[in-house]
Amino acid sequence: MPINDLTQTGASAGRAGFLLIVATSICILIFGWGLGSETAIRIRPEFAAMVPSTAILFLLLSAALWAFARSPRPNNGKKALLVISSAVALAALIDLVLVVAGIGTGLDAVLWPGLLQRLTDGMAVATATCFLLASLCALRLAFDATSIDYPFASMSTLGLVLSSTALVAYALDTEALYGVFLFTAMALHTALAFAILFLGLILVAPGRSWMGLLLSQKEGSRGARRLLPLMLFGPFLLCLIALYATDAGFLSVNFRLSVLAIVMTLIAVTAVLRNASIENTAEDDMQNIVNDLTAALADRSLLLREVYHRVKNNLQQVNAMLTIERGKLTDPEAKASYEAMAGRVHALGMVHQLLIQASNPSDIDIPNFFHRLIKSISAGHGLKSRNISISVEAEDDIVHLDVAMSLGLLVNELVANAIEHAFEGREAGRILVTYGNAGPDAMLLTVRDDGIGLDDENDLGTGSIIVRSLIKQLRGEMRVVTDEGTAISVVFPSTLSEVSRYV
Amino acid sequence: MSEAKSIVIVEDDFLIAEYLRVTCSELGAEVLGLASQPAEAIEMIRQMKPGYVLMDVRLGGKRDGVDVAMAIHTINPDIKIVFVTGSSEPPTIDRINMDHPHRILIKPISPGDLADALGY
Repeated sequence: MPINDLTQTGASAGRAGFLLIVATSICILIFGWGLGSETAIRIRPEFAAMVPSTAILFLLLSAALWAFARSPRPNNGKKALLVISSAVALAALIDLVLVVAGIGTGLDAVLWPGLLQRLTDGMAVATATCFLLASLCALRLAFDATSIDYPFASMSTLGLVLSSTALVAYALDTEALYGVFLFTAMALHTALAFAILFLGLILVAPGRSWMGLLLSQKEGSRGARRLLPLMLFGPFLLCLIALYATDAGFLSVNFRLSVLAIVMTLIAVTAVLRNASIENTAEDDMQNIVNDLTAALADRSLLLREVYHRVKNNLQQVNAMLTIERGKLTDPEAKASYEAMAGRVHALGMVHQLLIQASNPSDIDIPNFFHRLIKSISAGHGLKSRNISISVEAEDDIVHLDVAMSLGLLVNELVANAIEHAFEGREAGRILVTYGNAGPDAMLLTVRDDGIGLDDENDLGTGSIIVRSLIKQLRGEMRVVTDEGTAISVVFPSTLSEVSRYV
Repeated sequence: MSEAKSIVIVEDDFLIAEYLRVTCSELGAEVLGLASQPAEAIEMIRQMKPGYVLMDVRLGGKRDGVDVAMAIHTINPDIKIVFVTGSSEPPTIDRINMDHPHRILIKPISPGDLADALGY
């Protein structure tokens, strides 16, 4: 539950409530049962009394809760809370058993019978039940909760409902309250104290119950807070008015029920409709945001493809200029150099072409790429007439465009080298490009020919600086094997695609 | 000054690093070494003590060229650092200026740009 000003205020209020109960119970014990003040004990002569056991249990439980709730790291408070809550729960249970079994009026009749003045004085069943609920909630408080604590939420809410029922009954018809066995002997201040106690429990741990929903800063919670006073007090006030209206003769007793039913239904339906309106607006806002995002994403893809298109065009222009310059040269070695350059530029251009067509504008499908590259190289060098064939066997793999650029240039270099040097004096030849897994995190690229082989590794020609640079770029290692031709292998990490250089 | 200028190149694109090496050599400078990552670069520069460093800003990791430059300048404040960057945007330039650079070059770099930056 994110902490905000409201939750802080709520927690302070809860703690203040605990303290209030502590103070009140002390007063009742001292002034009421100690010094004999009837007002302290039962407020009005015809009301039930808060017996000493009740006051003592209130005192203990509230004190423990206050001590636990006020320290941010409640380790000492935790032990005290556990002990006291258990004791209170036990006492409440004993009283319940005694009352239900008919042994006097509960604990007080057993512990200090001389103090009690009336036959009905004792801890009411509802009181004992509330103490049970409150102490169980306190026990749960002692243990951390990261989300809704259903036992805590249901018990504290039930306690709040019970005490509120008693309070409302006191307001509307006290005699009727005492007619209910559950509530006989629950004093007015007992009911009030329980309401404060349960409210306090809920407030100091808002994340465990529906209180979190009320205290959040989000739109829904704000709306709920606006509506809350009306929904909380509306029905009660309505019933109060109906009561007075009946007593004053304006309303018959039975018609009163119809009026109450209709008015409460109206209030409820209004609240429901208002909620629906809020949710609809929220949904519209959400849809607008989603639309904006989708459009932005589409724009980005479009932009990238445009950029790739321009780069591809630029590279074609470079190739054009290289070809024009080549036309001016006469030296065959120089001409070969320019041709080699054109091949490299073409390989880069091909990556961009594939990126434009790809569904994800930053990934390249390797088998597709290599096949097209080889086709282009074959055509460019007129290999059919020279009886040299090139084939590709590539495992399915999709790599980041940076990796594809390095791989494409590397394949271009190695294949061009093979075409250039491997088949001197031969009638025909074969070149094979393979690409695939070579272990858990490694990929293997091999360019193999069945030509005349190499004298030593350094015989790769002027392309070798480029080849070595490309291999370093791939963080790879090269191996050359001469056996019925030449096989040049490069091993590089397969995780390369996950790390983009140009962040 | 007849003494050849000594340079260390810090660049994570190996082809571009080779281009810089060749271009510097053609200008008459001596390239002492190539580094592609921050830790490697700091170690190499510490050992070789070049007069100049061609420092690529983006090195593809958590630390960038400016971090390397600041690390070097605490040991050798006299080394002239020529920053090389593909971005001329204010945030990048501001970041580079944190380390009082000798020069800032925007990619693509021509041999003329380089000659100028190295004082040829």
